[in-house]
This record gives sequence, structure tokens and C-alpha cells, in this order.
Amino acid sequence: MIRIQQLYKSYGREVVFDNYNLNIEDNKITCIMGPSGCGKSTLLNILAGLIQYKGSVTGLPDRISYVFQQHNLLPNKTLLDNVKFVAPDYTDAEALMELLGLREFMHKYPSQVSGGQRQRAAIARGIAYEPDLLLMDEPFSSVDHNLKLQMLQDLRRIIKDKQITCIVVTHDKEDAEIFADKIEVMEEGKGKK
Amino acid sequence: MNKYLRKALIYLFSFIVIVIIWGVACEIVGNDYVLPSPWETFAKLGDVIGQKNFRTAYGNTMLRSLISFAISLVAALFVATLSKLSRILREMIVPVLAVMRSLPTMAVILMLLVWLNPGTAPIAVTIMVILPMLYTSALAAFDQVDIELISMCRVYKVPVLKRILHVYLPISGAYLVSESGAALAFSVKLMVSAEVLSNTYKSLGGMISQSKVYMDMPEMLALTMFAVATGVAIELLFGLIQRLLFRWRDYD
Repeated sequence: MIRIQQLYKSYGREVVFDNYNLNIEDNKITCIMGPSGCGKSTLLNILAGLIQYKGSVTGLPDRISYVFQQHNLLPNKTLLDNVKFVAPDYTDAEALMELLGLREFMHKYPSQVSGGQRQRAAIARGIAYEPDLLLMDEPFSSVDHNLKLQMLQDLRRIIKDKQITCIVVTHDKEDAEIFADKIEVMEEGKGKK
Repeated sequence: MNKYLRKALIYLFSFIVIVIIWGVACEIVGNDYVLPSPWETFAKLGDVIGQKNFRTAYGNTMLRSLISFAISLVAALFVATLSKLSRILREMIVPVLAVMRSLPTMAVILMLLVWLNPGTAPIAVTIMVILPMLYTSALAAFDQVDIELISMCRVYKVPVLKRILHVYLPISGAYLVSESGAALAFSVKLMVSAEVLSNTYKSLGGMISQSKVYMDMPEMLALTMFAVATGVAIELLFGLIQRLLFRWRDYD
């Protein structure tokens, strides 16, 4: 279990977390919801080890994947090569991309595809890394509505099969209800539950 | 129509327009000593290219330009890397660059001629002008690598060497190659100017200087045209290198 205790984080005078506590259960999908600016992405950045904080975060595994909100794909590599860049030993990259509806686009560069396709490639990269903890920041925001439901179900199945602990930040209640095992709601200001 | 063919046709069309304007201007002036006709200049260009002393002079000028460019590029990359690592150094370099950029090129050449010889003074002045340009380009090239991509590499524990080879080099390199093409073309232009002032022996600039002494306007124009064509060819060559090495940028 990942335990976040007495977390404090501020940007200058703006306090994002003040004595924030949260437990994340292993092998469960936890959705974090809340208004814009309440610190959802900051929490993921803390768990990914990208920003400094005060307080205690224990139980973090060694292998962590992060599906960033802005996808962060390398512009000089095709979608498939982006996946292979972080997971060179993963043999099912092409099958995974097919599952995420990227069969026709896997040999294209990020700038040649839509925002939703980039986001799905970033999800494929996150899973191909075979993490113990998968962090996802608004991963479905650019995904086409017709594709979303099937993708949420497929993705959930993969995460469950691979026994990955997953934390997803989303503002979409419907996505959270389909995808998550547990929903945490954060309040603006102090990051209280 | 292929976009490269379209571009080539546009270039050809602008060249024809320039030649027509030049021909009309020549007819209006009506004095070959002041403004020779395009046909006379092109004929002279053909003559000059056939001469051995021209080929030697051109080779020397290009060699000097390449030496200046190579020294500037290596120094710029070295200093830019240090600047990226140390903010203090980066700030210390700002006034040095400001001084280097403000130096009046002609005055510097005249001073350098006192200290150096006509063969090395043009190299020194070209370095002094190109180095700050390439330093700025190198810093901008490093900044092309988005901080978010670095965060991604940190999360996925991408080894440093792999980051350098697959992230920094291709992304910064693509930008630097395009900037380098312009810088090398500018080096040639500067080198020729510096050689004219220094009257460098067996150089393109030296030949232009000699043509001026003998009031040989067709030769002067032909040599100048050749220098311009060299600059354009360099930029096209670097554009081609960029397209071959960094194809992904075409889609950006």
C-alpha cells in the first residue's frame, strides 16, 4: 500500500497540500477527482519523483510509469518507437498498440497524428514499461467518445491482468465510474479528502 | 506538383526576374564600366571558372571559411555546454557577447592586419563574428529539448547515454544543423569581405580587390556572383542534410 502522510506542498505562497493524507491500495485502480488547481497533477508529480515535497510517502514501487497530460512523446520517433524507447524488451508492443486502436498510426510521428492518438500512444508506452505503479493524468481527455468506452474496458482488463496499481486523475465522473475501483475526491485549497 | 520542384521553379523564376531587372538597368545606364550586362558577366564567369588561379583562390577562401566555422562551432558548443551547466558563467558571457557583436568588422580587420598577416586576419575576424552567432544558436538548440521530455526520461529511468543519443542529439542537432547552414554561408560572405580589405594573396577576396584596381567590373561582378552562389549552395546543402537526417522535422 502506498501511504501519503502529512503531505505539504506549496508553490511560493500558494499552498497546494497542507497535512494531506491518502492511502492507495495495491493492485487497485484509484481515480482522483477534483476541481482544477486542487493539486491532482501535483500529487502525481510527487509520486513520480519529479518534484520536492514535505511529508511522508511510503510504499512506492521501483517501476513507475507516468502517462503525462501532454503525452510527452519524443517528436523524433514514431509512436511504436516511442513505446520501444522506454520498453525495449517488451515483445507485444505492436499488439498493445493495435488494442488501443493505433494499428494504422504506429509508424507515424507524433506530429502526424491527432491528440487522442498521441494520448493512446502514451498509454501504450506506460503499460509496455510493465510498471508496478501506473500514474495517468487526464489520459482520456482527447480520446474520441466512440472509442472511449471500449478503450476504458480494455485498459482496465490489461491493468487488472498485470496486477498494476493505478492512479488516474480525471475530471470526468463517467470515466471514473467505469474505470476505477475507488474514487477519491480532492477539495480545492488544502487537498483535503 | 512535388514541393521541392515547386520551390526550385520559384527560385528559378526569381533568378530570371533579377537578371531581367539587371539587363534593363544596364540598358538605362549604358556604360559597361559602371554596370556590365548580365550576358557579359556570365561570359566572364565562365572564363574565370576555367582559370587555375581562380580555383586555387576559391579553394583557399573556402578552406579559410571552413576553418573559421569549425573553430567557432566547436568553441560555441563547448562554451554553450558550460553555460548550460553554470548560470554564473552564462551571465558572465552576456557582456562579452555584446562587445563581440558590437565590434565594427572593418576596424577590427585593420587592427588585426597589424598583429596578424593577410592570410590569418580574415580567419580571426570571421571567428569573432560567427562565434557569438553560433553560441546563441547552440544555447537555443539545447533549449529545444522540452523539460517535459526530460521528466519523461527521469520517470522511465532512461540511461544518460541513451538520453543523449536519442533525445538531446537529434532534437538539438536538427535545430543546430539548420542554423549552421546559415552561419557557414555567412562565414563565406565575411571571409570574402575580410580578404578584400586584407588584399589576401590567392583568395577570392584578393581577386575581387585586384579587379577593382584594374576597374574590371565584369570580373568583379562575376566573382561576387560566385560568392553569392556558394552561400546559396551551402544553405541548400544544409537544408538537404537536415531533411535526410531529421525527416521527422518535416512533419512538425
